[in-house]
Amino acid sequence: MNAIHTTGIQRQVIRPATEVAQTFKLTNVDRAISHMPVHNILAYRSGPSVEQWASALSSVLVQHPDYAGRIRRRGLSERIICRGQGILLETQHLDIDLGDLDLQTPEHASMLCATECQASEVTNGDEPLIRIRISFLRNGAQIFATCTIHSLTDGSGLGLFLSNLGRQLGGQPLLPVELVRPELPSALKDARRGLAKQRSFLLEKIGPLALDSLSRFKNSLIQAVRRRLHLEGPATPFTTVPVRIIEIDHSQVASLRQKHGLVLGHTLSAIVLKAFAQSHRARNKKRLLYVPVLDVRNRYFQENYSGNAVLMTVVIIPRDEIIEAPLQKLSLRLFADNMKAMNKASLLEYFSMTQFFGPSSFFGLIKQEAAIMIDNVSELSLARVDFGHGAPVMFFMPPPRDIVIPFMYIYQTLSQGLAFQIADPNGDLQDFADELDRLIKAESAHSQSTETEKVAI
Amino acid sequence: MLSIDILAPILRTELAKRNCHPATISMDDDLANIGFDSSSVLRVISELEDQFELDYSAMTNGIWKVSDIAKLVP
Repeated sequence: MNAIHTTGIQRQVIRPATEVAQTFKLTNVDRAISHMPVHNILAYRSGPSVEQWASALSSVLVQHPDYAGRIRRRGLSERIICRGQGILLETQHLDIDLGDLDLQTPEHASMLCATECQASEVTNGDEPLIRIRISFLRNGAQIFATCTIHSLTDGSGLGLFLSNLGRQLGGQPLLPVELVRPELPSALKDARRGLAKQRSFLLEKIGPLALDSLSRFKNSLIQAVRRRLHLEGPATPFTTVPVRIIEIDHSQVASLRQKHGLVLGHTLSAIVLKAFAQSHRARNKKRLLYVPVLDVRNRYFQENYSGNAVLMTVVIIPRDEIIEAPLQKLSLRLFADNMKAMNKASLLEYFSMTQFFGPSSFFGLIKQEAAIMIDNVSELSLARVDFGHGAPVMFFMPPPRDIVIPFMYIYQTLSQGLAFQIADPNGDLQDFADELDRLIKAESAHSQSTETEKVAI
Repeated sequence: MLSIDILAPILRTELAKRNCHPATISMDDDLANIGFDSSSVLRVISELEDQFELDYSAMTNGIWKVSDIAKLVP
């Protein structure tokens, strides 16, 4: 691959057009997902000028003042202090045509991605929470890349921000944004109950592994508390992650929908687990850990909520059950588990526990297990954002760099198909990818009629 | 099984968020046809989770119709 010549790199801070002075406390849902950086890359055949981008961003930030703020830790809480500090806009010119670009290669993606904010530096009060990098290509095309902090917002919140940016550029009125960040209930007594439940869960379900896990759990809990009290530095940064993407087209998605209906999302997770159970990583394990990302937007938060509304949970399933259970039965089991995890009683325990047991402790506990995290973002509208020059012609969500267990994004392709993007911190899951490719294509093999509705999963 | 009198208002509240307002809702209605997608169905069942002790073993053939949701409440 030839080196791409980069010129004219400029960095500027874009401040809200009108100064705002507000403070928002990060909720327990924001904090439970961590300050993990999240990247998105959209490619367009053409786009606005730098001046137009800067002006539109400045106007839109008035509607989204929290995104222009800075996070600062105060005691045990973290707040977004908004004084019109702004976001980072990077622009550059690349000596390449759009047709020669491959967003999914690490070489190209890393050049196009916005500069990342280290999760450990987010709370120092100086880091822009949104960074945008726009690359102007040789043939007039543009690559629009964002890097956000997950605790600031999730994909839906970012989608609303980008949708408003498109509206501003197109001269349309902006959509309203719900800025108030409500805490979900938690209580100390439930924290104790949550910890006890976690402990008994490990002992009962993991068996011999539990003692080791429990010991690591205790250590990670102590470390988490010490970090909260500023007694210890942040965790060591993780390595960059390789990627493999398996795609199915629209007709295959329609075929899957015809077979599995409205629980298709859980069927996809079940297929992923069946493939993972056959991998060498899982082969000697009695139980697998399934870490789904659950969305409580529109349930506990409004649709136009600005903050993060997704959370992680964990389901431990015997490997034999995953292999032997018919696909539909396993899908329904995952469905039931996820529903139970999202009821009020479970969330009360969850958020009580996460007061002391953060994401780094959680992943520290499970990273030696056969665990896989699945984030189904197929309903996100990011890939359809129009900045006044048409829809994107390419779209890519690079895997988060901070992951410590295999991680999968399931997202909708531009042609209404689905992509299963596998990332692995150890880069050794080719057998899993091969098996998933086989299973997903077998399951989505065409039945009689396949042209059904184009709703997301 | 949850009666349609109790279930229909819950379904309507969720459908209204999607700007769908079916004239009638019956047990035999196909959920996708009256305006549901996967997420909105999940939100309805999540809502029911807080109000009832759900029996997921009743969900033997997936979620296709209004009655499939009603069956989750013993």
